[in-house]
Amino acid sequence: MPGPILEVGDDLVLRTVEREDAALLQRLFADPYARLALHEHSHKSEAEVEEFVEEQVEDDDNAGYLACVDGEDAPYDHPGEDETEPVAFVYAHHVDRDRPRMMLWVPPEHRGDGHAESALELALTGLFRTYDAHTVGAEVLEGDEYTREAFEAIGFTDEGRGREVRFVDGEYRDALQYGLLREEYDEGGREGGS
Amino acid sequence: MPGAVFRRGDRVTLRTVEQADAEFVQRGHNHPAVGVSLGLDRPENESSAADHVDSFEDNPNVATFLVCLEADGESDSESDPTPVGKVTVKNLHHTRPELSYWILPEYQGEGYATEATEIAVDYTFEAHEIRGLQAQAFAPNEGSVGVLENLGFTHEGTLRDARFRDGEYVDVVWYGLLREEWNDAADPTGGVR
Repeated sequence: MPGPILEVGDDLVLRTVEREDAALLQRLFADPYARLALHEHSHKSEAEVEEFVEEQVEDDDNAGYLACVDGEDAPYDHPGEDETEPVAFVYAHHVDRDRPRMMLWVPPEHRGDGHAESALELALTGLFRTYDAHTVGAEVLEGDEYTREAFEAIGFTDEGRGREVRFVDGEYRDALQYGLLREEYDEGGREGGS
Repeated sequence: MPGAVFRRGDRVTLRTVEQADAEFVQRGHNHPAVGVSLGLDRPENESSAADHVDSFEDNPNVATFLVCLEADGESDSESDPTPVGKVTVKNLHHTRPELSYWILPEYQGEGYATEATEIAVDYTFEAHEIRGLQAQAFAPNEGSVGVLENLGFTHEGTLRDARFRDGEYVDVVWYGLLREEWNDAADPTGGVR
């Protein structure tokens, strides 16, 4: 299960990703759109995903969050299985560079819950107040409407379309490029953004 | 000293990069007019330039060449060729590998980059089962963008303020070229190339 709370929103909290969350994240690598956002081309064993947590998520260059719906008595530090429900994974690659790259994965059973936007918003709050990134970017593959809508809803600007950059789900697909500048995020008057 | 000729153009040859060329690579990477445009942000000593040559050599998904001028214009001449720049295709295992290139400032403005990249693009489409190619440049780098437009690449996006370079945030422009666009342009009936 996820670890301690990093950011608190109205409906969600962001918690740390723990190695035992590999089983949940393994499902991300079964989703071709989500894994390609991590520049991974194939599915992974649970042991490989543990390695991903250890080498990528735990690396200081990157930041990973599990957005969770906490139960009433969920503790700050290590909630039990019946005390919190992870509903989204948000990851930022190279937070120390000019433009960290963000990715979002929401398990299919939570896609109707309206959590994607709040999870991204909380992660952006955390990123922009923790790291001095000037802008953040995201690549969304054509056909991944759910993720595209989430990034657009939070204020990302459509910056381009790489034609047929990836082979996904039986077809060459375009990669849509999105960007958000810090000042745009601040002007958006987001909670905690000022 | 550059290695064997791999492909030959009208004015330039693409030759293999040898370990002894580390010094030339180092000269290019450290030149402010080259390194800054490539996104390099720190000095490179000869041993790290040698590591760079080694790492490209060891990587099966990279094809890299020295752009050379031949003495007397003949590549079979007895005299040594003069390296003027470098062309690289990275991520050959990707759907659209990435093309990059640089020419030493004293040789810029002669069309060498366009000629060299054209040969490299031809080679890449002929030798690899790729869907297309892509390339990126800092928006203010008109020379580099001009090369891509000469080759028929399509401007596919502008990532705003995406990199800090030369004291300011600059846009990064992305370009793409699909296989059929390259083939069509090479067709003498409709081609301009």
